[in-house]
Amino acid sequence: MSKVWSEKQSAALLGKWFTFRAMGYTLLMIDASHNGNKVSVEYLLKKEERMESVKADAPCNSSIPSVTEVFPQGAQMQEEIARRFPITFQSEASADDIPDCPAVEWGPFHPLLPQPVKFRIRMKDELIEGAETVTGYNHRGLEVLCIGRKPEDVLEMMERISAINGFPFSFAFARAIEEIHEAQAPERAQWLRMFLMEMTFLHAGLQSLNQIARSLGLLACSARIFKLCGLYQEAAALICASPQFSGLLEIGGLSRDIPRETLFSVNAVIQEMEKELKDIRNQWENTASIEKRLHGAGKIDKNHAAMMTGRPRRAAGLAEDLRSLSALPWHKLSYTVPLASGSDCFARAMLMMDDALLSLELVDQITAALPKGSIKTSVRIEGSGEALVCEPEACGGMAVRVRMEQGRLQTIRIRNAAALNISFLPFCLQGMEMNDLPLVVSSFELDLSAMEK
Amino acid sequence: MGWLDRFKSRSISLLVIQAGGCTGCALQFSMALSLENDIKGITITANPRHADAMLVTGCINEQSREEILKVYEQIPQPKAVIAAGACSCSGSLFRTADNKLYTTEEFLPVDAWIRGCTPGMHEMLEAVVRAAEAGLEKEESEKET
Repeated sequence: MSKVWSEKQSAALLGKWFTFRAMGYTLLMIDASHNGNKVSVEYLLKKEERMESVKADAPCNSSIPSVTEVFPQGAQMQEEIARRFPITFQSEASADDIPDCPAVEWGPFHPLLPQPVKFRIRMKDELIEGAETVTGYNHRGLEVLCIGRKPEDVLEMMERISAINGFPFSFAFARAIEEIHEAQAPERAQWLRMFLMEMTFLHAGLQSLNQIARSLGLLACSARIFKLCGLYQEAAALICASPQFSGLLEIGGLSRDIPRETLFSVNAVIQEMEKELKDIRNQWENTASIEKRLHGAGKIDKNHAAMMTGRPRRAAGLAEDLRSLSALPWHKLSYTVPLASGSDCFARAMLMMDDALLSLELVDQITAALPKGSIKTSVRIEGSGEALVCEPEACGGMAVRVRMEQGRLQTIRIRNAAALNISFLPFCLQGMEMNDLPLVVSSFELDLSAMEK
Repeated sequence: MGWLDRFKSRSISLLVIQAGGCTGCALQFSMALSLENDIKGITITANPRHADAMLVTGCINEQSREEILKVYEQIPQPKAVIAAGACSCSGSLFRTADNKLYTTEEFLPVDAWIRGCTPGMHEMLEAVVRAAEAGLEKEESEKET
């Protein structure tokens, strides 16, 4: 049976959260560890470059206040911790609590769902009254599997965390290990990493766009986008056999160099997408039926959008340049991060295309300005320490926290964009029609593989 | 008659189950359906009752396993099961003795395996056709007896 914390302890914890929120901090990550008969929950809060931590030590099987009252974006992370550690969070009302509304279940496997997830929906007439997401179908226990392993072995797993985001996560992990060992990849390796990151963003953007096209029933358009994905595959095959660039990244740099000629060839192939992408954008913008369907669907409240990351945030007109926070030399390139207004599916779909066009432009710039030099620094991986790395991923910002002890991984905690954004999906679905559900889910770009690990 | 010629005479309705994991295999299969010009006629269905075969990709945990079994029961006979990708065939990097990840053949009768991380596009389509052929042969032999 769970023991509830004393009112005084709960009030103190809530008080700390409210204070930090008032100071402009946002929740970055929730970490937890289990020592003997107590569970330590650590809330990492971030404001620009500053980082703060709020700790809560609770006995096993006890119940502590839910962070969602102050930081709603923590719902998914909290749920993950409740599944893994003997602790519960005092939850709020769920969709199950809505009386007299018939429940409909959708999922977990459906062609319009990019990854398995189940929706439990309460309907009132034709409209969604309340929604609840049931996750856990993607869970592989990756964070637990990594414990005690050598970083080289973990890197291989991180590459397979998600098909669209494998490279950004393995890069963030490699950077964390490099930070612990105070090593830095050579300049050329950093530029090549940046190139591969942009390629990954482009691929992910195309896949998300395809998902939206399929949700709209635009099969001809989906086929056009698939052809662009085919171009991406063709370009990626020039670099390595895997479209996710598995095996290319190493701690301290890259496993092999990519010759300048190859990069030119890759660039030439992917630049063919530009015309087609612009054409699709014009088509979506100027076709009344598409515009009508997308406008107003999946509108996200601006307050909620401010707590999200990636395109859902930027579609609400809130600026977020994740590239500028990265350790990679994006600051040496010239670019403007696209913004949109409207905060609906239309704005997010347009941003997907604008972002894909931006990635094409950046790939072009990187190819032209790639420096010469070595691609690897030798790093002797035997150190101990801790690092928290925040980097961009294809769907927003991510954070990876690594603790090492004598060359072996002690703990790893991964938080991707979907872990923040999925918490707002139920709010967004309220008042929507059931047939808009796949469209709204697609526009959220939930990378559940990397979220559930 | 070669498998390709035989396949061209009928279409296969396929239910793709992305059980979990990285989704690379499911993406690859979607790409294969769109880009492989040699093969036409595999249709993706969302309804198990319309399916001829089930393609399972990804790591299968306890939660997914229960749902997959429910779906499998709803597919009419004759049906074929195809395990696609290293995770579905063997658990890949993620399976250990005690982390309760399953391979497809541990709880379903698998007709075809497509190994590799990530498997090739053409191999995936060929395995689907071969599994469907096996299903047809099974059906014919049942009729004869």
